[in-house]
Amino acid sequence: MNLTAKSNLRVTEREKKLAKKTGLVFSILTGVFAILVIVLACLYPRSSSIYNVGDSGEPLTAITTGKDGETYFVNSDNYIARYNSSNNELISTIPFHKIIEEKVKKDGSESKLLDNSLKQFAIEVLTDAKETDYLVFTDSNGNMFKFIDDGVNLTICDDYYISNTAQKIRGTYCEGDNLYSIFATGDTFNFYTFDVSDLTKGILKNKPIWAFSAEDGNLSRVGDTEALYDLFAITKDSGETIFYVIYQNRIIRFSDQFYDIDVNGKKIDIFNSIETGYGEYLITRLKEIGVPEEEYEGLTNAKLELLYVNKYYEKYKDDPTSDIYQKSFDDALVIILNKTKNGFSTKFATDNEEWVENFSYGDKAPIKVKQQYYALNAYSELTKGQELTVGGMAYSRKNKILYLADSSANKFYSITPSAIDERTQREEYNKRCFTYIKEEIPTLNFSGGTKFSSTYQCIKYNRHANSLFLIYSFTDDVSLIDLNLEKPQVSYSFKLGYDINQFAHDKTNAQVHCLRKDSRTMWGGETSTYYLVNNIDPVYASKAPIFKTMLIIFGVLCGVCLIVAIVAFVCSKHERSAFKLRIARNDVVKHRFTYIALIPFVALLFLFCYYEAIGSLSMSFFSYTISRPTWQFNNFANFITIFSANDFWLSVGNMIFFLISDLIICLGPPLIFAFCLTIIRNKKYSGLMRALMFIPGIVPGIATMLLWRTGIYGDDGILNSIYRMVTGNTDSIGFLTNVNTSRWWLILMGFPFVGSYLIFYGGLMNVPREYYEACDLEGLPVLKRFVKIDIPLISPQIKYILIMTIISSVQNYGRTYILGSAGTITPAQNMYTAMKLTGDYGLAGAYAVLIFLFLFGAVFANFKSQKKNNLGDSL
Amino acid sequence: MKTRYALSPELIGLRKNKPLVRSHERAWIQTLIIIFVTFCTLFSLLPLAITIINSLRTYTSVQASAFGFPTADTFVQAVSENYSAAWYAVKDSFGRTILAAIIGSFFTTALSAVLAYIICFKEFYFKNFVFMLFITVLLVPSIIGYPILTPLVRNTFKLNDNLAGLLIPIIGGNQVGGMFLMRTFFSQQPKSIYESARMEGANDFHIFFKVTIPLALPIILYYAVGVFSGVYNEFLWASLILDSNMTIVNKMYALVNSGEIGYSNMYAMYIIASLPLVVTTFISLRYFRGGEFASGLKL
Repeated sequence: MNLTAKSNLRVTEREKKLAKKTGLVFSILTGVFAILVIVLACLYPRSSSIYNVGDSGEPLTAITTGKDGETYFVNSDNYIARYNSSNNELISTIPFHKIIEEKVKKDGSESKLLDNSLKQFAIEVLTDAKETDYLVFTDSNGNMFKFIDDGVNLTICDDYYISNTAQKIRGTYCEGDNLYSIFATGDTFNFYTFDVSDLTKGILKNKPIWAFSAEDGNLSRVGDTEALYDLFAITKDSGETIFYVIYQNRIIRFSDQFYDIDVNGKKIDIFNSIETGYGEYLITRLKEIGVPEEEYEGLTNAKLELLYVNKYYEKYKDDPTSDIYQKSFDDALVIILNKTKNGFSTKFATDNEEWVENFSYGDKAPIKVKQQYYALNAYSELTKGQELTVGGMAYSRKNKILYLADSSANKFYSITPSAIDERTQREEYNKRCFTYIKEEIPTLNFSGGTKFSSTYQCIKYNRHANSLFLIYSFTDDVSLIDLNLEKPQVSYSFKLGYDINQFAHDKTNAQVHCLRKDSRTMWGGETSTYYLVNNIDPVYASKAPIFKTMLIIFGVLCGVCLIVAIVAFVCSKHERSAFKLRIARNDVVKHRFTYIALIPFVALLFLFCYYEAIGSLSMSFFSYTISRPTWQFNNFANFITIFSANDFWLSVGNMIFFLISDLIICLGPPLIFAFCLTIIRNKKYSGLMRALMFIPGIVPGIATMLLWRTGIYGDDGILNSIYRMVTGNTDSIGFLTNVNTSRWWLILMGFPFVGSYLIFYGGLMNVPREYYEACDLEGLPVLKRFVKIDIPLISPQIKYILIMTIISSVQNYGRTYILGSAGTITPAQNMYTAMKLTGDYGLAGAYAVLIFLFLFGAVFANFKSQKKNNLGDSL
Repeated sequence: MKTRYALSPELIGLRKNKPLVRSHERAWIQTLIIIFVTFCTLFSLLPLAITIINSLRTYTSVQASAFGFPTADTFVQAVSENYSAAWYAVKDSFGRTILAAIIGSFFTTALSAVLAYIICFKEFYFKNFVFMLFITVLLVPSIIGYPILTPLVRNTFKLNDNLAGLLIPIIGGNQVGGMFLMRTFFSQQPKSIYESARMEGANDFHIFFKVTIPLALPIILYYAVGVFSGVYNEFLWASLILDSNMTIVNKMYALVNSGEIGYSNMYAMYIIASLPLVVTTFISLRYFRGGEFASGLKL
């Protein structure tokens, strides 16, 4: 190589000129790419905030889209704002509870309102049979008010409904003039029907709803009102409306006619004949199975029903052709009768009367209607054991298909309601009332693994465009699905923002708005929360990946051009550099296979070592958590959190305590032990001891720690057993639970600490024997030889152990995590906790940076202090 | 070559009638040393002894006190109960962990050996730079990369709860340590062998497999065994990546922490978990009892 180098020693003027030219060209290119990067960064699609309630503002509670594409949003202080995306006009906020109160006062029905209880409004746009759009407000007490927006003012309608039952409205659906809604209190749902054109008529029909869950074969009642997602209805040709209510992981289906069919096929309208009709019906049925009249005379409907179910059960329990499903609870027996041919679809009862009373709605017996469950969780048996959790539901009137998002398996299902209808009437229904359909749910799998939002609005249906928005919680993605196609598919995906609470869009999906909650940590660790409405153009936003790729490409090109330009300029001025460059170039060409072979190693190194180290350093300045994986600068909040923690100094103290004790433990006893092994005359015995010393290493480290925790330090461990034996006491010493002393017991773990002797032993064995012979001749005592000859000669090993001990001791979170108490926390353990338990990677990164700085300082100081044998030499 | 202080036959001859008794070879000092060494060894073995003894006792007696001995009448029943319960609890993770450890150990060792060969025997302009690039990593503790490695593997690569997610970063990170160790050994191999191999027309491929690997087999084996037990014992990284497909160490920790496993079964579980490491220990014993490799361990 030297020869070739010498022959090309001279750098000609031509080459210099060429280098200068290259430098010029590439500096121009650098500039061009830099401008491109800036332009792209400016054009990068962002969601803009159209409405921002600052730190002091009230949280935004609801957002909805009006008939002309305008957006309404409400805050918890009952102010409403209207935003028109076409002309970007934001109408200032109106305190609409004032309007309502004035109206109610005028009507004189003020007393009906609970003391100023109008709060937490939700809004929804509902259309009646005459195609009039109403803005319907519902509050947390189940009151309902209608407004008409004429484009200028919001006018309150004359009709409203005051419920004041502290029932939350969980779902509404409009079909013709009927407004169906579900009111929820505690674990009870009530299904109400209103007339949307005249709310003053009040509840037209009502019905309580229950559902059962049969998870793991255990039948249990389900009643979590928060878990109710949505409701929709389908009116059949016969005029009967079938409702589908979805909550938790099941769809409940029932009819609006609220009837059962009696033996002769005659409908009994239970709703209208709740006191008489149902009782008579039950008496007919009781007569049918041969119960004497005196047993049921004068009983209330609930008791009649109980009696009927018990009698029915007694009569048919041993009949293999009957379809009784029974299940024992702790305090009750549930029997479900599925005698569909006799008109009963589902029944339940119990041998515990109180239980029935709790279940019943006033005097009305609990389930008197055709009500069937479509238990989607049973479906999990067929989906590789994954639980199906319904994250949201939407019904497309146009397609007549129900769409479901499963937020645990990230699947999207479409179900035809008729499939549910058919299925629930199949003969398999006899075996169990819970049934599932697999083949009838085609799945649409997309966006690999992103989680659907678990908030109730993870699906939003746009009835104007017949499209669906699917919202993911893990990434800030939203996907738009076009349902007009034969097979629904994702039109585009875009990023909107985290923590999407509610979601709205205009008619053509040209603008998308969402309610968001955000928080920011300020200097001093204070966190402020603010609420905002984000606005984005989804088509443009869906192009973000292209922008991102181009940004990266142009950024890299810009960097490369800059480097080339600098190198070229330096070479044109500086002959030595040009010369070196030439050698390097020739070498790369000559050893190209070596360089190519090195690529995978260097790639792995950068991917798993350098990227991590640099990334952690950068991440420590950002907030990045498992639930919100986005880099957000947080004003050094991570470091502030660490330094302002109450136990910060305790953890640092512990770290230093363990570091010093570990250094003593790892350098002292093993060295002495290794030295003793070398001077034992009986070599066979020393060999045996060395062989035995290998054996403790077979137990995995965690197992050893757990063994020390329970077997030795535990309440019934060896030490406490001996303590009790010696003192005769019956109590036990909490070695590891005592906050003040537990750290001493932690360092005592591993007594007598000679485990790592082997490296010292190897070093001692490699000391040239001639030195020992010389010592013998000089008559040097062996201890003196050890100090004067052995220790200096094995100093590389000592240094190795020293540095490894420093590094591993500071990083050793496991000892304190597994055995420690509140008094033994260390920064490494805090870092592990931040990663594993709270998922706060930004905080963990800050810990990592501090630990690294400490280690770097310690190791560097160590190298400095032993300058003679510095890193370069020993390598 | 003799040093100045070499013990020549003449000198020995001079002291022939009065054998050399070094001060530390006196009987009472030797006795003290033997007592000390024996004491240390036995104490080091104590935790293991407790584990073995307790794994042979019945559930009720272990629960009462960890200090006790197995009784003859309940011995067979206790052993069968403890070990079958422990095996049932950890069998899935046991097989999984051994598989992961073998794969991880193989790939790490292979990568390290190739890298060490390149660094040791190839001459190229940027060699020092590349070497420093690798060596710097040794001084950066692995724990500090985890805050970014965990989301990278879990979210970006989608390898959570997956053995590949556990192993790939281990392989990528451990190649450096192996390279460092093996490079020292490779450079100590006699140059003449390589020169003659080159003269015979052997290419790098031949030299690597026919010369380097056979000569360095003990250190390669040592490193492979080390990585095997490293992966087998991996707790922190495994606990961050694996949720339900736990390795045996995490499984044991979860079982003991949740109290799902009885006291005596727990000890049997430790013994079962130790079995693969018995094999690796025997390999270590075979080659490294003398600590010959220690010359490679220095900074």
